Amino acid sequence: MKKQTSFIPTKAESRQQRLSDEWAEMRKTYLSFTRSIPKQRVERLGLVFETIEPWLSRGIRTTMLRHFLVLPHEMLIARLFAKAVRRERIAPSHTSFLMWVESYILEGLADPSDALGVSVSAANEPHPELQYHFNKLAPVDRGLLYLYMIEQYSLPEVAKYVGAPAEEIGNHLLDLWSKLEKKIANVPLPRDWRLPNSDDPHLNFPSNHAHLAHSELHK
Amino acid sequence: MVNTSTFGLSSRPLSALVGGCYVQEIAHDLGFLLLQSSVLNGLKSVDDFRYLPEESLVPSNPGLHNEKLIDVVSECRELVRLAVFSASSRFESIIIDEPERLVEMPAISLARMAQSFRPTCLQTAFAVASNEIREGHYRLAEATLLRASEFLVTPSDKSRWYQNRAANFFRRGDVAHSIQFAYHATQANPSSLLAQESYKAYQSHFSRQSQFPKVDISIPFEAKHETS
Repeated sequence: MKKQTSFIPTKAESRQQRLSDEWAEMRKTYLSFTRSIPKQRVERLGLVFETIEPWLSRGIRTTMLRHFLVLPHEMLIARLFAKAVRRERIAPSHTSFLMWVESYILEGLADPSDALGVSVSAANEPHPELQYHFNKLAPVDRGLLYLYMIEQYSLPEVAKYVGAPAEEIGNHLLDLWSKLEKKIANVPLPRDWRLPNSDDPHLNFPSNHAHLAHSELHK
Repeated sequence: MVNTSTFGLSSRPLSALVGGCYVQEIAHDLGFLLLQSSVLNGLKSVDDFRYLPEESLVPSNPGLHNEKLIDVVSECRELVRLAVFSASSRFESIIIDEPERLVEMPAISLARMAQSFRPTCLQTAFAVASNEIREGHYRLAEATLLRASEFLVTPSDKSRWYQNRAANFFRRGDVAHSIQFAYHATQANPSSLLAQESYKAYQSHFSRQSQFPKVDISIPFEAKHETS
């Protein structure tokens, strides 16, 4: 007689299953929206928005983190939502939907006629000039600034992530910031960003004193 | 400002943005469907005009395409009724009173309607210009093409733009200029077989016509309005 083996899903598998189930539910709402008559479609827009918005937010956040981009979150949600519900078909799985979100954002940024990355739609979004200059930096440089200033990892954590000595990373971070700061001199920064300055004890090593003095002048 | 309650959206600021983007997207879709209808009706017309629209603009299933158009128009009609969608007053009356008439409208009218919804779309500008050329409105066609020049991005765009200008001059009887523009079309996109064939066709036509003044077509002059 064959011995029966019990299958216990891992935590990651359970999470994937839950996401797949949630996506299937979302697809049902989407299909009933697209198959309804035009009058009902207009009335149901709010419902379908509430259902699809968490997926859009997730896709936008993943793309911003993966490519270290500074983008107008609310504008992207609105644009992506309108695009998504006007499509003839919605992605069969949540992973392909997230890939669609990522490709839409990168395509928009690469298109010179698209205002994405140089415009805002809400008061709390990063200034267009900040978006433009930040997103134009090299990916590695963007990554350093993003992890330290936006995600607010400590310098040793950023150094560990990059795989370089903390002092070297600190010097580079200050150098990058002083260059970017010159380009966005009159631009207000988002309140929740952390500036590389002397308040951070990790940045306060002897070779950085000249950099910090320069940075303090622009505070 | 979009009335968010119209869409069953909440009153938070993001909802206004969402409603606005949705209306914009519908207008964009409607513009594309009208452009496809224009292409369909253009292909149906039989005359001596060599109408060669982009393959991607030809609907694979005209019946399904018409159904889609009526569906989008119905949604627009609902939005017009709710006063969140605006179109030219002439077009609004067609949307509200007789959307089925759209399918049978002349290609040029459909192309112009499409352009009102997609003012920066190069394909739509080409559709308008080619219909204007076909109907003998050469100056209008030239103006449409010159306005469209600011949207040229790819070598293929540039080549098609020159080809349209060549066709315009050819229909006016100015074969020498049509050859110059056809030459520029081949230079803009050397891999375009259509551009090469057109250039050869204009050249052979030119060589057959003795009444045209002789010009050295091997050294083309620069197009006056060539884009940078």
